[in-house]
Amino acid sequence: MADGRAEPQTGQAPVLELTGIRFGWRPGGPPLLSVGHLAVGRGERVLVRGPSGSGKTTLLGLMAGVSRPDRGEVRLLGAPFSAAPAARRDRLRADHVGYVFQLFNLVPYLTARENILLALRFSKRRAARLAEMGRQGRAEAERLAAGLGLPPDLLDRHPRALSVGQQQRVASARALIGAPELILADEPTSALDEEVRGRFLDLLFAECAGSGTAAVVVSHDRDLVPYFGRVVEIADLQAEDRRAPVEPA
Amino acid sequence: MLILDLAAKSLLNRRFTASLAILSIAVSVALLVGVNRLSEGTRASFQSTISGTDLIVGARGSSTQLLLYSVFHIGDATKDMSFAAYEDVAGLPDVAWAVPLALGDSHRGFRVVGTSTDYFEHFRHGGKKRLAFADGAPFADLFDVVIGADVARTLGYRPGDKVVVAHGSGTAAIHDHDTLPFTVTGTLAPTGTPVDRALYVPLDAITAIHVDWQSGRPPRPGEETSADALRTEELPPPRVTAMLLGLKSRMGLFQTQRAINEYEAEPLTAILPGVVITEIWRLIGVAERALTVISGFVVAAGLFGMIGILLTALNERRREIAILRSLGATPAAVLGLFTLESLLFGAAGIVLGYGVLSLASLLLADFVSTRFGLFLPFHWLTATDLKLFAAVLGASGLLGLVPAGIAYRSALTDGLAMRL
Repeated sequence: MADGRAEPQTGQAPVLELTGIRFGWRPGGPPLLSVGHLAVGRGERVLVRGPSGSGKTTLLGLMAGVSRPDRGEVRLLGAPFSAAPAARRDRLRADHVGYVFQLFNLVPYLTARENILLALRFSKRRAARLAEMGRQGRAEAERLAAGLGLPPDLLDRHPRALSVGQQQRVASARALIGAPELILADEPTSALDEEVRGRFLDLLFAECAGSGTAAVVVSHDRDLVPYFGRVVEIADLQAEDRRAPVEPA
Repeated sequence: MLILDLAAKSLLNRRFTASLAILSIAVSVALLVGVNRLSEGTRASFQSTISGTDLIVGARGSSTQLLLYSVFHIGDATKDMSFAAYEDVAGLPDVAWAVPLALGDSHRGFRVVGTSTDYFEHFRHGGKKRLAFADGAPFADLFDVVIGADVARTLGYRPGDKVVVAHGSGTAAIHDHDTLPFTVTGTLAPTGTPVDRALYVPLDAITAIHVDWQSGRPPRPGEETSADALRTEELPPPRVTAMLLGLKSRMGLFQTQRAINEYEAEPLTAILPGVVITEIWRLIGVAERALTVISGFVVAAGLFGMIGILLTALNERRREIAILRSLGATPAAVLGLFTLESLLFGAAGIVLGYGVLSLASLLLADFVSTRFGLFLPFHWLTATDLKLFAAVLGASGLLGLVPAGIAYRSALTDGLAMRL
């Protein structure tokens, strides 16, 4: 439920902006993760690249508003995100962020269709947005699934009856339904075969483009670079931070 | 609503383990309610073993003992009362009817009661129920006998069969009155009371089978008086062990009781059966409470089984928690989901357990009451049931907080990390 605050601006502000982030202070040592400045514009496709152990999952946790930085700020659509109370962060995530895991994206006891529609049930705002577009949830789930290369008869299956590739498509449809402003994905293609990988990303980005959704993919895989408009190395984010710490605006 | 839907689907998905947990809760709920019903029924049937009788009178002695041997056929009287005293008491102004009871003989472990046909007329049990004949009629001849339902079932007697009465009771039955057999004329319908476990003969028959006895010793063979002679002979006045009294009005109850207790010719005791039965129940009611405690433990065992099942699933459900968190579920919603699941377990167990028990008590009530003398009352929900259900549901919710609490914590600490 909206808690009375003004909803985030969807106009000029970056979809996601991280400033002066430090996370995981340990006495004497460097932080687990530090980010000087990273802004993601509307509809932008960003690959955040780094080897395993470089803090990718931590970064995604911060971007999704599940964890909070020790220093610095995350803003979502121009509104305070990391600084907001926990309940509001959960609400903002439900309304504006779609999330795709590396594997096991689906609730095992729901069918593929129910998994996709779950995003609408957690967010009235996304359901309303769909209604504004004159679309109905079930039809939209089928449309997205078809767009992502998933035959409609698979939608009534439970996740255990789907291949890994099919599960990732269902997860992408769930992240995209109701046109959130941002999709976050954690190694979404690492479990896919090489030839499927490219097609999967092509279809995903086509759908993103259709709804104006920005995508941030975190991966170690250099082969993904050609699919993205912008590539950011985690190591560079950290180095940049050490050179010139950026004060929050 | 969303959380309820998810909880229900999650349970449905784990049908097998879930139904095991639900079954174990159902069994314990059925047991708990069943024990409650039974002890309630036992108390009710115990309390209503005898009704419609205002006073029981016997030789001076303990009131508990008097009740036990006259109504429950447990133990023996140390002394009889004289027939003169019986007649005096029966003649008191407030007395509407009097039924004599002569005890002390037995037949194959069952008590033989000498009485009058008024017994079948005035004895009441289980509220206001009269004795009914399943077969045959009350005794008419001196050597006729009416048998209780258990006697008929255990020994397989039917009207027309011959029965020999033994002197004394139980292991002390040393001598058979075998020259004077009785003929079964009737079988009583089951009552679920000690009435079922006794044989009834005319009061004078008890006198007749002892007429040749000299100072407590049986007659020598060949010296017995024949049955035909006894039928025509003038018998001495019968002995009476106890008597049941009905009064014209309850108003005269205490006055009559006092008159009997102060009877001058010989010491007598008059008791109010209801009061003494309540005293006895207070003694044996401990067993009933023990049963309730035991079934409480069974419920606890069932609930712990449920937590076991929830905890086992918890590890693999950490993925599910991460998914729900990524979709915007708050940690509180995750807590709610898990708590709701254990509440659903509890609720399903209660519904199933209660349903099975109600069905069983509907179908088996007659069987249990005639076979075991326990009367299993069928009710819809009683206030006690509702309290039990609330306790079981509360406990399942409370115990469900253990896995729910762990899920809540991992929702907070794991964030979106998937534990594979």
